[in-house]
Amino acid sequence: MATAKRILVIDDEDDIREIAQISLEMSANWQVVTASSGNDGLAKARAEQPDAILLDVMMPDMDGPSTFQKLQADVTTQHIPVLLLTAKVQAMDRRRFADLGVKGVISKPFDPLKLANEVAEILGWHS
Amino acid sequence: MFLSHEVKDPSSSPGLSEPSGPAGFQERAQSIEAQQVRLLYAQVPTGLVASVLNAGITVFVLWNAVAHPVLIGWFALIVVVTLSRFMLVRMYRRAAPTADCIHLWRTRFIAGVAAAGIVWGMAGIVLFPPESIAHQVFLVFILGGMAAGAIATLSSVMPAFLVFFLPTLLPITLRLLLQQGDWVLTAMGFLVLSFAGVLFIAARHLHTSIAESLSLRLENLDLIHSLSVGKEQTEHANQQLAESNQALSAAMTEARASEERFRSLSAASPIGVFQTDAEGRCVYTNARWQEIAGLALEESLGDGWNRAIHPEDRDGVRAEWLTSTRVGREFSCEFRMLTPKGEVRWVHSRAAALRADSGAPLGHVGTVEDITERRAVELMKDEFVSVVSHELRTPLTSIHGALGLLAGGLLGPLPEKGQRLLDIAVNNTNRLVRLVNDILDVERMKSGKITMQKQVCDAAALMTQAADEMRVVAEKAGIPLVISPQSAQVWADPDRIVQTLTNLLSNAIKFSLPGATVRLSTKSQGEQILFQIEDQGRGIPADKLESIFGRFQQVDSSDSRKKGGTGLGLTICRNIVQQHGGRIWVESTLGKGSTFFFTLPAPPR
Repeated sequence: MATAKRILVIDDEDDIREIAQISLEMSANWQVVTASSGNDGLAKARAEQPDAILLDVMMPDMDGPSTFQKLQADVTTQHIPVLLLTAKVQAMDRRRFADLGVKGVISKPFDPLKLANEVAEILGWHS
Repeated sequence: MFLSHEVKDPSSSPGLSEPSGPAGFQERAQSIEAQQVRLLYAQVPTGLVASVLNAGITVFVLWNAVAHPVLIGWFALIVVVTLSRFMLVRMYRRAAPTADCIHLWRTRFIAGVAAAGIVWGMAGIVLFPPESIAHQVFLVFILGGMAAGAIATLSSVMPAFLVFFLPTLLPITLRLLLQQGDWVLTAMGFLVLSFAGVLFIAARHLHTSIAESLSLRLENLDLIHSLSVGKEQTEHANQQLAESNQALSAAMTEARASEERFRSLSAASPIGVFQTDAEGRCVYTNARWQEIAGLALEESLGDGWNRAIHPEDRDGVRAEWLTSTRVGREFSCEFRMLTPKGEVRWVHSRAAALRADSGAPLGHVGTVEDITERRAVELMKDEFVSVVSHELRTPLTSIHGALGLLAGGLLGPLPEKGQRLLDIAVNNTNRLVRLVNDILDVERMKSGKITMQKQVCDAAALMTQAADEMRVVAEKAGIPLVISPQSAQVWADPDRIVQTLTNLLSNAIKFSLPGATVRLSTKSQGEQILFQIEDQGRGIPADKLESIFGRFQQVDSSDSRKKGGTGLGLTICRNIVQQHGGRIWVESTLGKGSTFFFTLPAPPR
């Protein structure tokens, strides 16, 4: 497994946020920062400078893709790799998200025991 | 007699056929000759009677002027010749010869007449009484009379007349002319000669008249025959005309009934009906069409239908119409109509080309169905499915995650029963996730929300990817997975085909016992590639081979519980394959296994 990383999880669902946090902390010993909205996530990304961001797609006010675009527009956050968390499982949706420039897409529901591994694999942290 | 027979049966006489060309004229000449010969034979009895009677009178008158043995001998010759000719006539009547063999009978007759002429001519020499001028005059009178009589009976055939006429008169004429010193006899000789000339001319005239008369008669018969045939043809044509009229009348009645039926059907139809001409101008709409479009009949005709289409959809409909017309496929399009009152209606219109027998386009006939309510329901359903999907997934993600963390032992060990219960909860959560995913897939496919992103793919790569995804599951179940990747290009959405293959492989593994083999292979079939997934499982009963592709239709209703399936996998597979223009089916033997087949098209050229 990769060395300790800082991960920002942005999701409006408290339970999912918590499960993702427990999963990443306990299975990979990563540090996890959470945000409950797009705006909250933007602020924490700037402040915490995480190694990666797990970003939910469907959120009220500002959804995942919009948040991602703002992250990309900000010079302090545009270097941070972003992975989308989504319940949309259609191949077309996945392609659309990939076209935005995100590093990867992880389907919900995710396997909590494999989540860290999946993130590391997508971002090439194993090597 | 022959002529009357010929009238009754025209085909028996070649003389009755219409002369056309050399062959026709030859037939006509042959027929005239036949009539002439028949006339000869018909008049023979009169001639024979006259001959015997005149011979008897001659013998009686000359009895005291000529030696009796000569008279008796001559008379005997007359009788023999007459009897011979009589026998010939009898033979002729019995033979009743046809026109094509009449020439032989003509020759026989001429021979008989020639014999008679010679015997009569002999009289001019052997019965000539040198001493009695009165008997000489009598003899000249008798022979002249015989020659004159021959005009009536023999002139129809000139050779027959001549072979009698010349031998009869020539000897007596020569005898008279060559009698030197007696000017009375010489004068009589010249008289006989001039008389013979007159007789010959008369005979020629009569012969010509008879020939013309016969020709005319035959022409009349031909005419009658032609008229008769013409009459028959006219009657036949009249009969056919009457039958045609009757059929036409029946067809018109049927057409009127059919038209009436169509009108009542069209008027009462719950679906709009329209017809266009070859230029795309509307020539007919029914009441329902007018009701949907909110237009009167006159407003809907011509270009009216185009104005009824919602302005935003007009270009799209026009493009689809032109495309379907160009490629010759049925027009089928869903679009909005805008009524003059501003009401928007969703419609589904379909149209097919009307063509003449020659293939020339006549126009289109089509239907318009108001699907406004159906669209609204579909929209609601789509929103519902989307919301339900998301709302179900969110708590499912939490449950699944929480249970997974617990079951994975990250928070410490659990008692054995607790661990078992958590495993059950995790498995069923997984099943619920799959079920939600599959329901969403089926609904989206059914509503056409999912479009296949087709591209050129390598069948071997798709098979390998699907097999790799299923390898862990297969190993866990103790099922060797054998794939025979064959490189072949297909025109397909790779994600969807891998989904189909993994679904079919998952089924094959689920329903096989440990140790049984599952094989995946492909075969090229012309313009298509055939995929085969073969297992050695329990097999599928014949009555389920088709129904298992339906939603929640499984061989055993407990399969979804026991095997962890959703009951929607094959439905999804069928939808995917059909959206590629392919076909999916299964062949199975109970207790031995099943083979699922599906076809995909090769890339378009």
